[in-house]
Formats: sequence, structure tokens, C-alpha cells
Amino acid sequence: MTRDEFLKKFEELLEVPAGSLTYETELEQVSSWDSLNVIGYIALVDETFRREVDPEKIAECRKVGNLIDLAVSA
Amino acid sequence: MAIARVSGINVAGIYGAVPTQVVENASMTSLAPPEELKKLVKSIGIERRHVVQEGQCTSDLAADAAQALLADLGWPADSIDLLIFVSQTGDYQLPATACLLQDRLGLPKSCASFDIGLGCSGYVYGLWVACNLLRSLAGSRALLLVGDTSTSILAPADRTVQFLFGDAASATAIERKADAEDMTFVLGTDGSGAKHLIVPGGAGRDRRGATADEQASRGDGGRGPRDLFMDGPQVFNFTLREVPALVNSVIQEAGLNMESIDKFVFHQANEYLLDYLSRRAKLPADRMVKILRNYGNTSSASIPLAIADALGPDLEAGSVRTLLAGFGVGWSWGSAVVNLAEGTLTRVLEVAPGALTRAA
Repeated sequence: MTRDEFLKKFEELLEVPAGSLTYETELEQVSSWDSLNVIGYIALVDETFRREVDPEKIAECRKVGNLIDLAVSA
Repeated sequence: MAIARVSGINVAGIYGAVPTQVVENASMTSLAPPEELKKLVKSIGIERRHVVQEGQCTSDLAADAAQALLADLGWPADSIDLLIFVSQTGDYQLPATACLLQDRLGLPKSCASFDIGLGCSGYVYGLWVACNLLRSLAGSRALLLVGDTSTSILAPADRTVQFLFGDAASATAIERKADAEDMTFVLGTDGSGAKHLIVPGGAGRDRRGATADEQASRGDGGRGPRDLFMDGPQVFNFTLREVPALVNSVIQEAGLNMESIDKFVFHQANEYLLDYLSRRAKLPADRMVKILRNYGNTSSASIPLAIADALGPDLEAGSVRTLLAGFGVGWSWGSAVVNLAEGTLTRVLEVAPGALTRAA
């Protein structure tokens, strides 16, 4: 799965319009990026890549692109 | 993983007990705005929880469940040779709550009684221990009392835990019976995860909770050293790492397949996790037992409470082969295949505060 494809899935998870997020979007500006969606993100990575993400690394992410990189290249 | 098979033991009844007080998650508007609460309730699948009032202990709930179960089975108190209390919310640091319950229930002095300190995995561990010990005892009956009052160890404004937990206890009556179907157990532990789900202060390692101040200062609703700390994402990861393999392993060890399990009774952590887990482990959704809506996560009591709440009609109609799976705090996990015979008694009681039961 490419970064762009995962970004689409991430937008679906957060229930935001397609194309509304970019790699540069600051997570602080995304109101639906909350503790429930942290779990949702972990599940999405697990389901897509059968891969476990370290929650401490999620906490370090500042931009949407950081989360996408973490998922695709973890 | 530890694997065990137990033969010649039957479960005669499983009763749940919850406090009368009910808290609606939708009413917790001091912790989150209504819209957010709505979304949260939908995700965790928990609408309300039974919550103890001041002075109401796990043992109070367990005692009522035990007395009702013994009465309904017609088992005299002096026929019980073994009492095991599984909880992480006992009456005192010492003595063991099982000793207090032996007296309170009027069980004979010949009754062996002790506590086991486990949470989410505690029911499966307790059942495994009780069944095995019963096989080696001269007597033929055991009482397994399992439960927690987790709401008493939550910081009142800690949003990471407040909406999830409810209080409950359970009583399971166990007897020797030659023709009972074998039970199969698979158990495991990974203590490297201890720090992710913990009450750090107040016990031996940190009596005054000084070092725990560090965690408290993370700022979740004024959590103090004697309050429960839970790292949700870590719990989720642990569950995905261990539970699908655990389920497959116990089915395999029992010599069965997925189709031969009538009901999957998992620790009721929250609905999102249960649904994801069942999808991930390819479990049949229609055979997953879920009682989260009205009870929340009741820690060690969640498996027996789910059986008592949901399986009554099935057990009146015939036997039900269950797959039990408890997982969480420790990290600790256990799974069992247990065939509950037709006529196994089930019931859920509501217990008012202040009514200390004593054997007649």
C-alpha cells in the first residue's frame, strides 16, 4: 500500500472529507485526532500491514505525514 | 504457554452480583460535552455501569451472590471444602478476603480459603486452580468468588478510565462429577507490560506513592498514586499480540474447531476492542457474548457476569460449550474451553449498600 492510499484510509478513519488532509497537516489542527482514533489508527495499521505500532512513537508524531510514515515503514 | 486439561469437574452454577447504583455515561457531562459522550458511548458500547457506593466492597457483592447460589443449589454451607476469592480490590491489604468470607458465609473451619490477585484474566485462572485443587481434596465442592470494584480506584475526573469501568462480583459453584466433559486451559504471562495497567502507590514498592507522582503529573483528571493508571493503546496492542493466538491454541488443545464452540465469552474490555478482536481472529459474531451496554468493563467479574446475564435461556435448553478468554492487567491471560451442562444455574442479583449478609 502506498502512502497516498494509506492517507485515504486515515481520512476515512477520522471521518473527514477525502483530500482534506495533507502530509503537512499539523495533528493539533485535526479535531477528530483524539484518543479513540489513536486506537483506531493502531487497528488500521494492524489490519492493513499486520504490524504493531509503538504508542510512544505515535505520541511523537506532529504531522499527518509522520503517522503515515510510521504506518507504512514501521 | 501453560496447557492443562481437567477431567471429572462440573460447574453447577454461576451467579453475578452488581451494586444497585447505576451511572449513565450520557449523564457524565462534567467530563465531556454531550456530543463527545455520544460518540464515546457508541465506540466503547457502554451506556451505563453499576457503581458501588461508599463502604460497599467487592466482598459484599460476592457474599450475596454466593449465598443465593448455595441456597438455590441446596448446597449446605458445611459441604464446601474450598473457597477461592479472586480480586484486586479486597477488603484489606491483609488478611485475605477469602478468610473473611469463610466466616461471613458460615463455611466450616475445615474449608481451605485463599485469595488470588489477578484482574481481567482472574476468572480463568481461578477456575483452573479451583478445578485442580478440588480433584485432590477429600471433599467434593468448591466456591469460586471473583470480582472487582474498580470504580473505587479511579480518579474521579480521569477520562481515560471513567467511562469504562463498572463494579461486579460473581460466585461459581464447582463440584466433582465423574462424567463431566474435560476442560482445557491455556494460560500465559508477560510481566514486561505491568507498568501499562497499574495502581502504582500504596503497596510494598511505593507505600506513599512518591515515585508515582511522575505518572500522576501526566495530568489525566488528577490521577493520584493510589488510582488506576491505564495506557489504552498499550492494552490494545497487547490484546492483538496475544489473544488471537490464545483462542486458536485453546481450541486446538481441546481437539475442537471453531464450529464446535457454542459461545465465545471474552473479558468484556470494551466493544470496539471485542469487535476488532473477533474480526481479526475470524470469530463468528453471532456467537460472541457481549454484555457491555449495561455493565461496562467489570474486570475479573466480566466473564462470569456475561455467562450469568446472557446464557440462562441457552442453559435451560441444553448444554453450552463455551470458550472463555480473560486478558489484561499483568499482562496476564488465560483461556478455557468449558462445557456448561444443561441446567447450570445462572442469575444476576442487585445488591444494596449497607446490607451486610451473614449466614443464618
